[in-house]
Amino acid sequence: MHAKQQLLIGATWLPGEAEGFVKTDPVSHDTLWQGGSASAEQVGAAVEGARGAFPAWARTPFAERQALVERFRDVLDGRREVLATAIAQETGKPLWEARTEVGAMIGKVALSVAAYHERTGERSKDVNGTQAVLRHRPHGVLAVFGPYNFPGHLPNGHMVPALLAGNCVVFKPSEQTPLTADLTLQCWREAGLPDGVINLVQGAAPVGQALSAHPGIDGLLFTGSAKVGGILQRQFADQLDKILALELGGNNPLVVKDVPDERAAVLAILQSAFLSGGQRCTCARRLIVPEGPVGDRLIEALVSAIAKLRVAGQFSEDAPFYGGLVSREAADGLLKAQDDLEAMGGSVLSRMRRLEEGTSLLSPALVDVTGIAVPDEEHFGPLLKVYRYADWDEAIALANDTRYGLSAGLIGGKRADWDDFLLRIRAGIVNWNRQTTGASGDAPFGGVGDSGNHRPSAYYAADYCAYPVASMEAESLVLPETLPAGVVL
Amino acid sequence: MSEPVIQQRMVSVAKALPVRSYKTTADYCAYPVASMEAESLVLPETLPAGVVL
Repeated sequence: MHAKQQLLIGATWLPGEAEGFVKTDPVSHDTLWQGGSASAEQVGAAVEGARGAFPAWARTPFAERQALVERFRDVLDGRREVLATAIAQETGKPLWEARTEVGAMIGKVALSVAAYHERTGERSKDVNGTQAVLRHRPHGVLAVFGPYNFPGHLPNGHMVPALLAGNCVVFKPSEQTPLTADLTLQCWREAGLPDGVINLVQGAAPVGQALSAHPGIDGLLFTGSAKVGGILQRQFADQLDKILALELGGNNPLVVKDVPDERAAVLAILQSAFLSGGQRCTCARRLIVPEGPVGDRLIEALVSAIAKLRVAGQFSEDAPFYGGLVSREAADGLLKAQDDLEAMGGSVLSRMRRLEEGTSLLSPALVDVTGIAVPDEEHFGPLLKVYRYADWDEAIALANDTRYGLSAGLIGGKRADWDDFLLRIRAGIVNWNRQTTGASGDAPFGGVGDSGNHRPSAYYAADYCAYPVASMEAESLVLPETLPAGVVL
Repeated sequence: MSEPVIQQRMVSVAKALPVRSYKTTADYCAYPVASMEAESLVLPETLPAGVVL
């Protein structure tokens, strides 16, 4: 399977007619994908193609749609290594981790079939000879905007439920991950998905703007930054006819109450803050640690473990914990964020460095910003801020001092502390004695605050892929025995 | 040492109201909270790739 380096519009792969772009491996510099962006006319053609395919696809019995989606799963299964390699090359994540991403794409199919029935299935009851029926109908054409950090798994988590529900899809991947999208769409075609049911438009912001503004879409499912999510929310504010699902970022707190096992605590912190090089929206960005000797020892042990953490290229024989960031520019941004925090008065406990010139490989940063007013921003990389607290109420206040609310974690504490934390923390994924990363696919995934627009994904993705239709239905029209007051026939 | 209790919970939390099953809660009156929770913090038998403690 090789990259087409084209767009998929209806039944046809076509070269993009607008500005060309190139994606390179952020560590090896190999060229991975180059082609043209979709023009506004091509975006329009993709939407029209999806619109044309929608009536027949929506009428296709669910069992047939399910069978096609399961065939896609089988095609993925046979293409595991080529997809994992593409994901590792494009994102910078280690091959071992990219393999788990393909596994998550495969696992998504069974989870989505179950969620379809449980969340949006059909049910009916007899009401005095009339059937009261609840059904769910697909919206029509859904635009799916993918992120770069999980270029296979996250758009797949929108597309599989959308297609199962009977929608057609126009997919705009991140311009940083065109290759994974190209290969994934080839898998859908190989599975035999009918022409026009799924379409691919490649390119950067102009393509996204053309697609989001197209009157022919019925909804938009977006995973990405809070900044772009906010723009979309405002753009859709006066379009009541369209559904918008936003999965945005977080500035996630990890609170340490006490440290019963120092090594286990250090590992939970590493897994929370630095898994995927910090390129997960559930990554902990703020470590909230008690003042005093217990906290001091934990920080010392963490600094020591950070110094030994292995960071290397995606395909290193000695497997790294994490690899490169998605691009050299992203790495530049993280180094600048560290400089900015230091300039504001932050104390750098572990210094982030570029490990090889010209690559996106960065060592992790640990910066103590206690008592300093730093911006409430999501730094999407291996940068963890430390806050020291005097008492529990201060810890909770610090944890909630963010406009976001995606994930949060508590390390240590008794059951009563956990119950209190669970009640007071503002987040949609809240873990105890577990890393904040690695959300379960059979639970809802979403948050509060600026982390989304209250349309959780994963297990609840079925909800925004269909709308409910309530019916009272009877085979025949019958006159009741008594007429309503005031009626004479 | 006893085995840690690890459970996965998925409940909708309506703050200040009794916790209810996610299947029966009115959708826009609550938000879902997914938790992975364990009474104790335990080091796994094998460390992840690239980690030395």
